[in-house]
Amino acid sequence: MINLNQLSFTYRKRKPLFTDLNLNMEQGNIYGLLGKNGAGKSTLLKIIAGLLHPKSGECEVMGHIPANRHPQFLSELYFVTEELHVPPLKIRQYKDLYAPFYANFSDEQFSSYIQQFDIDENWVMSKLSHGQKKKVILSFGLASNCKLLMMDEPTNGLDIPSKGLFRQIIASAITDERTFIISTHQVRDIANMIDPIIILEDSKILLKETLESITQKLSFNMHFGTEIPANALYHERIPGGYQVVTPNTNGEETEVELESLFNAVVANKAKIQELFATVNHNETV
Amino acid sequence: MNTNTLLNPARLLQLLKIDISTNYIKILGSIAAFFGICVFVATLNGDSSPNPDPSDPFHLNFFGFAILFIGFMFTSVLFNELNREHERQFYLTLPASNLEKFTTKWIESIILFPIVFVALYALFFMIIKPIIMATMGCTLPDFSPSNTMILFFIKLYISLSGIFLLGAVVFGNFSAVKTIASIAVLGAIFGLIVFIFFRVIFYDFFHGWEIHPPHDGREPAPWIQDFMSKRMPTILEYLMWLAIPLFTWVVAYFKLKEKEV
Repeated sequence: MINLNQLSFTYRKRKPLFTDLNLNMEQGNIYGLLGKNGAGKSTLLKIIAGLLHPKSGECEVMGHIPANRHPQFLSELYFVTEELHVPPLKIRQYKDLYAPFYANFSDEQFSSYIQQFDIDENWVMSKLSHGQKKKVILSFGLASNCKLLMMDEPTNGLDIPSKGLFRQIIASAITDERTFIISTHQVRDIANMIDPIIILEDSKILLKETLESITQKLSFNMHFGTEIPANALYHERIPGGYQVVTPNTNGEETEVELESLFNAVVANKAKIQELFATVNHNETV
Repeated sequence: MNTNTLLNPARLLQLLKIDISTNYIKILGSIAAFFGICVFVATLNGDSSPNPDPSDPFHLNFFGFAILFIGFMFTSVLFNELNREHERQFYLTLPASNLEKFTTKWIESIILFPIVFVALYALFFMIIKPIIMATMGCTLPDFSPSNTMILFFIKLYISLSGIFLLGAVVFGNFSAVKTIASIAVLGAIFGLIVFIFFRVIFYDFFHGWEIHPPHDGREPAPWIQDFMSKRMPTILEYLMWLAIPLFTWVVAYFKLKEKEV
């Protein structure tokens, strides 16, 4: 689906952002792209969308070179950017004007999503709040039935009930033929939804693993008391004890706590790479 | 919608629909503002006699200025979405080819604008004429779109708007001002080069900075006279009506592709 091979990218007059980056993504998954601000998440999405051109290396998405921006490629991709541009049109008009560009667009799905988000199709898009605009664009992207849907900070601007609804809709919309990439630094908003997880730090991929692989290698536990386990990769104080991430030594699988995972990976780059080395040696840089 | 070709009529039509639907408020606003000025100018210039003079050049002057000024401004903002980050991302990921996106803007500038402008201009003066007559007691000459000079101005707009289309692609914001400034600078440089060039070749025809043909019976060679009197006007005509628009359209297309990178 997506193959990045030895990809390098530099913004003009800045130090290289990506150097010899390798990454493969398969269809049928909801990838979570996690990283701090400035880690290169948005840039990576823009390269995949063909908005930025790599300096060297290969970037192949759905059999196309994104930089060529072939209409066929673009009709199979929908990119929900963090900041949105919406024209001064009614939602219904917007759908009628833009839907013909997407061969598999479903009017029924769009109406259903819009309804679920409690939005009226007769509202004028430019007069909506940021969160409402995001809901409309997300609904459009999902209803387009594109093979690749990329979302950059999709939960920014959404209220608490809408975040839950967003997770439900995303989970129901994924199929074996589609791939979603969700880039965010608000990991709690997408918990229990993303799999595999990609962690980007300092323009490098520190981790790209499925939840299954992560639970096999790491344990996420509450540790009550004052002592921190000696093998803890990460610990965070909570009332009455610690939330800790340790190597999974007993084979017991625990629920992945995304924030702790992220912090553990960022704080223990070498150790994490060593732990996952047997299952991951291609994608990490 | 068929997505296999680079110039797909269905996509082209859809892009045109989008541009017209999303920009019509801006376009109508601009034309309304212009027509407001028209009313003001019309009342100032209106002939107080009930029977207007058919040779009154009001429309020739006013229409020429209006179509060139508004048309160039309109053309200059056609690629504004490329200058704003969020609109740019949206525009670039819209599933259509560069050629379709460029052709849409080209049609809007070269075909739609002149047609809509002439129609609105004619309609406006048809409506305003009796109103001015009733309120101000003065009248205006009839507007005839088939008048030779009106057609000349439309042709002139079509020929020169390519420069502003190119400017809209190359320059970011304030492209109209930058295009006019560029034309002025390039014109001055070209004029200077031509002037120096001619002074070298026709040295004998100059006394200081003034042109004085020598009075010693020498005349330019017949081929030069022939070239200047017969071929030069034809060359200039081709240059003006064919070479400039074609060149600017083609360059604008390739510059658009380059800018999108």
